[in-house]
Amino acid sequence: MIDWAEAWEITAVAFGFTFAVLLFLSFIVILASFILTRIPGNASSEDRPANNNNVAGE
Amino acid sequence: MTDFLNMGLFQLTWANAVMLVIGLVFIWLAISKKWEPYELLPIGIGMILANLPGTGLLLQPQQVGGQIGSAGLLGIFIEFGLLRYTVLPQLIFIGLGAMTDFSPLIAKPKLFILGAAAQLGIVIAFIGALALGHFGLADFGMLEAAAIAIIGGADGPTTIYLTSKLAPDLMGVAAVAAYSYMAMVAFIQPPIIRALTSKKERQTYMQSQIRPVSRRERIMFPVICTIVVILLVPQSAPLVGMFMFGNLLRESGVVERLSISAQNSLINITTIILMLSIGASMPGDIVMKTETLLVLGLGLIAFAGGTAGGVLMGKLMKVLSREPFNPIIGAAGVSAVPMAARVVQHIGQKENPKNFLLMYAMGPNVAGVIGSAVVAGVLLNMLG
Repeated sequence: MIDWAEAWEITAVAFGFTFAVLLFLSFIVILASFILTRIPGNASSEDRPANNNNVAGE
Repeated sequence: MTDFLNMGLFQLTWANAVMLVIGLVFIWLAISKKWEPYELLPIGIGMILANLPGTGLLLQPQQVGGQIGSAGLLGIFIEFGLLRYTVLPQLIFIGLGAMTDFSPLIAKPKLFILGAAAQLGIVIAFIGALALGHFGLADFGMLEAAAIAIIGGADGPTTIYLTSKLAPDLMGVAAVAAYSYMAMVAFIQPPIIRALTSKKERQTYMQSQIRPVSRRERIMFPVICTIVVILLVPQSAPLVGMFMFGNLLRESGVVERLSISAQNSLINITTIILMLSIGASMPGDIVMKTETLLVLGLGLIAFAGGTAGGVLMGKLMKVLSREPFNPIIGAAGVSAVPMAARVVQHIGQKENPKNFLLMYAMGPNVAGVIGSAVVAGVLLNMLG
């Protein structure tokens, strides 16, 4: 026998909580972008480190 | 004479025969129609191998009491890769992360909302599956309903991960449904998009260009996502953690060889083993049931519901947005990367040749991958 009260609760939590997590994540990303783009330095650099041959620990 | 009668031919059931035909159809679709060939080709041959009787290929180590040499290769893949440790979908996620560019989402974080709204299909299918169980049309409980519903996430590895945890018997069918519907995105989504939007809405031209995203932001994104999402939904860690790890390999720029390996060797080898295992998870006696058709039907409803959820949220965002906003990009919120985004681009450009919606659509598209992994984690937390 299906417990419909539990089923609706699972449905609401699964959708609502996922929505809340992604919404929160979008705010965090906006905040992080705001901060990161204001930190001095070559933020848009695509440069790779000069020495990329370190294999120690790999 | 007795040995001769033990040959597979005399053990073949009608269910095996039907599955052999379906396996052949999959191989034909993969080769001739190029429908998800990387998935359907190994799944097809896996199906055929699983339905040829007497091979022992499907014997899992636990079924033969751990006797050395008695288990079959496919049985070993299924037991260790899927049922016991579920490592294969997680390894796939490392490769997917290494292949994903989150820039459109970082540039327009509000597109996360569309990825969340497109998870609506999952909850519709969950309730739908339970309703079928309630009316005695199928033997679906909560676990099976959740496993079926996740098809609506349109994300193969997430579907496989969740079904292997909650309802292993449905794993093969659910995975095939997910990959098949992903291959059919171009047929499933356009009617739904057209039904829910006016021509004027579809023609909306989004003027502003997506801003360039710095390397620093691209590096921080997977780190932030890992910490935030896993702190909130720890059960999503196997998927989200591996996805973001793969992406960090790509964006860090300091481990190019690892990034290339994840994008190529790792994902290719894992795909071979995973898809072969999925095909082999479908012996005829398990698949040839009425429930299989219901799973396929509910999966389609979930997929359609996800598309509708994304588009409806897109319409709401259009109303609330100060800039022109084309609501059809919401349809890309079902994962199916990048096919769903391409469908949106195609429809948008057909309605208005000036439109170029691909970059916008990629935002909800990759947000949908994160969203479906989060839903899977939430469902695991409540039902696992």
